Amino acid sequence: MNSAIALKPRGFEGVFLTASLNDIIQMECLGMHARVVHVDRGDASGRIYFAGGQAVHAQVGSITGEDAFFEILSWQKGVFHMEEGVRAIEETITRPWESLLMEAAHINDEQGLNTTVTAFPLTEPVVMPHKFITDAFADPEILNAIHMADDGTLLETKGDDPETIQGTFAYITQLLQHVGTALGAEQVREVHFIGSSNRALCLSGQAKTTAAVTTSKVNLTNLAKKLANP
Amino acid sequence: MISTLVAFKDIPGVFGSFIFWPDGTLAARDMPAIYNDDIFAEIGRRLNGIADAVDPQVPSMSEMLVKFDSYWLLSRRTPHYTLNVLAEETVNYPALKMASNVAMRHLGDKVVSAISTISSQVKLADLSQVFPPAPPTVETRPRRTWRGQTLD
Repeated sequence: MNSAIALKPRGFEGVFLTASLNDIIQMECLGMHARVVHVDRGDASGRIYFAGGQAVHAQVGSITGEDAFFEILSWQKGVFHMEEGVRAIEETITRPWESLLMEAAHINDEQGLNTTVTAFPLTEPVVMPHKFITDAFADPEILNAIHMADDGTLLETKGDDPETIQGTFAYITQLLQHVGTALGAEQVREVHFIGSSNRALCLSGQAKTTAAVTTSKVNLTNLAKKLANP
Repeated sequence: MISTLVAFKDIPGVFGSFIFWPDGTLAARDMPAIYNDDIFAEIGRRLNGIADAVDPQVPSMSEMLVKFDSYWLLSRRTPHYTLNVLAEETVNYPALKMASNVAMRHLGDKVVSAISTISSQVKLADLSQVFPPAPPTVETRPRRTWRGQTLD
């Protein structure tokens, strides 16, 4: 069954013996990667697909979805390798990855498996990479905003017409890239705009772009620091 | 205008500066010779395109700061010109901003003067086309003379 599109076949391989697979899952989700992790136990193998900071699909033989995810998480030893830029065609998992790992730990405890899966402490929730974006966008001085992946996927938005904001800043970034090339500069990292009534900020980097239109009260340098990974 | 641009070099890290007319053509430059004049036509056109694109979100954009990997481009926009300064990322930005304020005050008079000179030349040229020189007057009555001297 062809369930994935390979965009850029890159990746690495490794073996997990005492290292936990849930660490790898956390890493993939926190890194907002579009990847597939192939896990091979020897007598069985499976795949977990990641996109937009979530596990979106898993497959072990004919089993898919959460059942496949929990099956893979129950394996105590295995070999894995990753392929970058691979996207699942179907989305069989919709639950947040934190919840999935919690349930996997619960299932493994019930079955008495000695897995290295560890539960997240409830008192200290894991901060998703876009959590600080969400928090920053909640500022009432930010009127419209988008946070998007390089492939155009909108990861977080604020305002009525995010597509227009997305198109505007994507176009501006392209033009500025030409200006930079002509001047001998390299990649555009950050752009500040100041107008009569509004301001705007556009941040590019790490395969993502964040743009925000604000009131004239906002200090764009401070906002840029807030929107960059703290 | 050049003397105004040269003053930016007082700030460490400033690489050069240039001014565009509102239509994107180059008005003046104080940039290293490695930059051919031709590239400024494209830069001016693209900066105008950026101003047009961002206008619905940021009406009457008057200032843009672009942070490239190693250089910063400060662009100050007025109805009469756009002042651009290219600097290293280590530049003291508040000092650069103040220098651009001072430069814009100086440029204000010079640009208005330049524009009024251009527009007056255009007006004279236009007037000469609208009102061609008057033909030589034709005398209908012979002049009166007495003992070799003209009386009229």
